[in-house]
Amino acid sequence: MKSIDDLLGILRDLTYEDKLRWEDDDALTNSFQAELPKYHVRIFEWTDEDDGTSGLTAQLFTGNGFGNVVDSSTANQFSSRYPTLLEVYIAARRSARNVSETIESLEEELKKLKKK
Amino acid sequence: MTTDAPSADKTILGWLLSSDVTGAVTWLGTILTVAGLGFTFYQAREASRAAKDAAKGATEAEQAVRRIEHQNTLADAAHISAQIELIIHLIGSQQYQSIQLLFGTIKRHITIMLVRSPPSDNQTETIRNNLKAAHLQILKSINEPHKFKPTILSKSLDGLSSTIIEWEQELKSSQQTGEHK
Repeated sequence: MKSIDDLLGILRDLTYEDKLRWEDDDALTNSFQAELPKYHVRIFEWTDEDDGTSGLTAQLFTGNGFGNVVDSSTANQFSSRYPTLLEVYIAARRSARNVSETIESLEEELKKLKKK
Repeated sequence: MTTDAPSADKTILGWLLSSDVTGAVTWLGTILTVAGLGFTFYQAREASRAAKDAAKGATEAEQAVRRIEHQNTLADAAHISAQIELIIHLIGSQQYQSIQLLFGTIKRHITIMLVRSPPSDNQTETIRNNLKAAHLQILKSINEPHKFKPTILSKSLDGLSSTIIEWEQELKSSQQTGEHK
């Protein structure tokens, strides 16, 4: 049976190809969402308050709201699925925070400083 | 038998081929050359066949070694899973000295297995991270008990155990399909 885990590689690749844009999710901290015509995807980082360890959860919804969860995948930092979720999370954060533009702008500033 | 020298109306080549002596020598030379060439081809073919047989033998030997290594890793994976379960049980009874002794052996075994039959990159990364996290907590349990977090030790051992079980399953299925890395 297929699950959201089967989509993680595609989500990561499409994000790095700039074909899928992510936004900050206002409902949660360290959470990002990507809108698709019929679905939307959310990925967020969480921390276990008892021991400070962290993990990631990816969720797939139908429609616009966060009401209808189709599937979700959770892995703490000790799970073998965590590295794959982390790749998607990092890609989503870079997309939502416009890291490419920021790095390009910073490069320009650094070049100007070098010329001085 | 005529041994007449070449006359003006005969070319040297014609004389060489038509003369009873030189003609026979030339033909004999040609026959020997062709035969020698054939023998050389035969030797080359035999050498090539021997090299192929040797390579095939080496490949079969390598495959046999890989099968044995695979089998050993499978046996070790099952043994290590049982040892990890024992450590998880010992956390409950706070026997940290015993945990440290057991963990040292497990860590060594896993490190050898990772080299012998490497799992996927994600699994390798997870195993290494969990070994590191568990080791750190075990050291804290003995040297800095106030900083020790048993839940982190349990989680890292759980993660280690489940990743080793995944690896074991993949080794089993690759053994069934006859594929060995």
